Amino acid sequence: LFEIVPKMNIKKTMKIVTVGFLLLLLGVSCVKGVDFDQAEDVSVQPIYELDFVYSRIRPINFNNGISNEFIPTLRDTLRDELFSGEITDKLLAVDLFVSFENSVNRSFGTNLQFLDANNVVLRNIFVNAAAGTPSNPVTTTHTIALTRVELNTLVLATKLVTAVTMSNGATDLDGILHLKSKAIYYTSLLDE
Amino acid sequence: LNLGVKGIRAFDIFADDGRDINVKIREQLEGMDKRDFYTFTQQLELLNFGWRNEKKKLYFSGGLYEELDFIAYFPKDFATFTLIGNEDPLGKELDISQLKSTAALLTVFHFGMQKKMNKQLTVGGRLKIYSELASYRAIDNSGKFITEQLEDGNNVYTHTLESVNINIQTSGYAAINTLNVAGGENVSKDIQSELTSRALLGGNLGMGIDFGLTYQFEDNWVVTGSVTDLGFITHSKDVETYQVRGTYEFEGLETPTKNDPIRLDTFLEDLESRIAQDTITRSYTTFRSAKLQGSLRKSFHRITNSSGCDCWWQNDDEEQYAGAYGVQVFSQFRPRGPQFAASAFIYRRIFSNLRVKATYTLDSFSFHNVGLLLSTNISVFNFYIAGDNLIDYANLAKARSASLQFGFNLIF
Repeated sequence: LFEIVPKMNIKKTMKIVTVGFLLLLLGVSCVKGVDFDQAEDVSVQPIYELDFVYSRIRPINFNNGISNEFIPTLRDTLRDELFSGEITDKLLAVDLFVSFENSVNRSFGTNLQFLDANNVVLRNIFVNAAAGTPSNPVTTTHTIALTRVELNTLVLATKLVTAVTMSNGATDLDGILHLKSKAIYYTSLLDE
Repeated sequence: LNLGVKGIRAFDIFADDGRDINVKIREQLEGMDKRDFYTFTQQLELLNFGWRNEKKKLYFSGGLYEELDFIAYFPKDFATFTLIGNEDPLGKELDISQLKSTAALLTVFHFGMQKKMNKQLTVGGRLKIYSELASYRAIDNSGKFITEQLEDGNNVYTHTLESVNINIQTSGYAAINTLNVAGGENVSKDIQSELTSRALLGGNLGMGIDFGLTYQFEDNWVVTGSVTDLGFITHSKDVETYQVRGTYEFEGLETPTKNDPIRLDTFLEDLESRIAQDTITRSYTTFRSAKLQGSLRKSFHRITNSSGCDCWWQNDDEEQYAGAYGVQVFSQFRPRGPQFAASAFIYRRIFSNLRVKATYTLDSFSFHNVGLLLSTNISVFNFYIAGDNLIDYANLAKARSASLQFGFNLIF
């Protein structure tokens, strides 16, 4: 068996073995049935839902706290972090979903105001809640679509003012106004 | 060089079938799970030498090789959250423990000894010193991010970061990053110099052993077993562990709570106060990813020399048989449990200087893995080349793994 093959020189044999093996691999190897150009069609457009604002307001909250007098509007101001940060550039649109469950026998109006650093109102969203009763609460829902163009303005917002106004109010009424809301962010992570 | 992907193939996504690629991605995403993984292992033999003491029937070996090892398990919940969002029910719960990944770049100095105890038994051991250039390890993570609708909740959803505990251990990263950030004309040279120093026993050091035995229980039957990389590395230089811990529940911002024109508190500050983020420089120890190997081999076609003498016993080192077949098993410890592979093989010495070994392997990636090894011995040279998954070379897009090894030895 040792004598079957005449002595070969090292370089030649190594070359034959390597080339032979690689040719074997290359000869049978290929990539077929695929189209890598499809990578250009990949879109990553996740939709994220995140709670926005909420409140549980009773008529007694419309007490001025000092002279026990009725004040028609409750208002406070939050730092706006809704449309800030890196995600802003990736937003295609945002839907604000607002829901009221009202068991107070009065209607309510709510203003959501986005203010810039100079307290200029960039966008005011008004939503109302129809009157209900303690035994028969009424649900009112609103969906506010914010387009990409509007979002370009809203990214400048630094404050969010929420103002809830009770019509023909009184502080001794029964019931509660339950405000729920969420923001639905439509994003596109691969687009510039 | 080994590259493996369990759970998905290029063909599954890029098949030219006229279907929307985004639909295919989503289908594949739903079909994958957290046990799917990606691996990449590369070794470069820098120096390997050995010599024999005939009198004591001892064989000594030593050398140095470089190794890069990476594994990442598929974090399905995070992929879903990124690709689909949390509007879909699939994205409403993120299991943070799915974040499991490690990578290490190191050099290994080794010295070993093999002794033929008797005609049947040969044992060997090898001592290893590890010098690690850089590594990260993120395997001890836990907690969840849950988006749920509660009937009595204050808002539409309740978003909860529940018992979050994220630990990402790094070594060898901070100093390189500092050099890189600092920039300057010599930044590449400085980084190269730092890495070279670490490669030559200046990195994070560790120690390990390999152990193996060969038992020839009949003339042409041999069983072998070995354990390799049973060791550890102590990380004390250039260590940074990033930790994130805490629980936080978010239901949106309550407003208005009272008639207060300026109430600029913020949920981001609240979040940061409840979810602590720390960078820790305490040293830590990691264990190497040990491997177990075993084989059972039956040899055939006994070789006699040209004079017809069946005199293999005159020199223990000469191959006694021209062929062999058998089975071999392999297991490697990984963060989510061991990986297994089992192969049937046939080996044949074709000419005096050419050997061929063919294997059929069942492993984590496929059940039809055919491999081939060619080895040639000429004079003092031994040259070898081996490849795996040859069937998949017919269409690499359908391959789940690929492996290629080649090298040469000088034998005196």
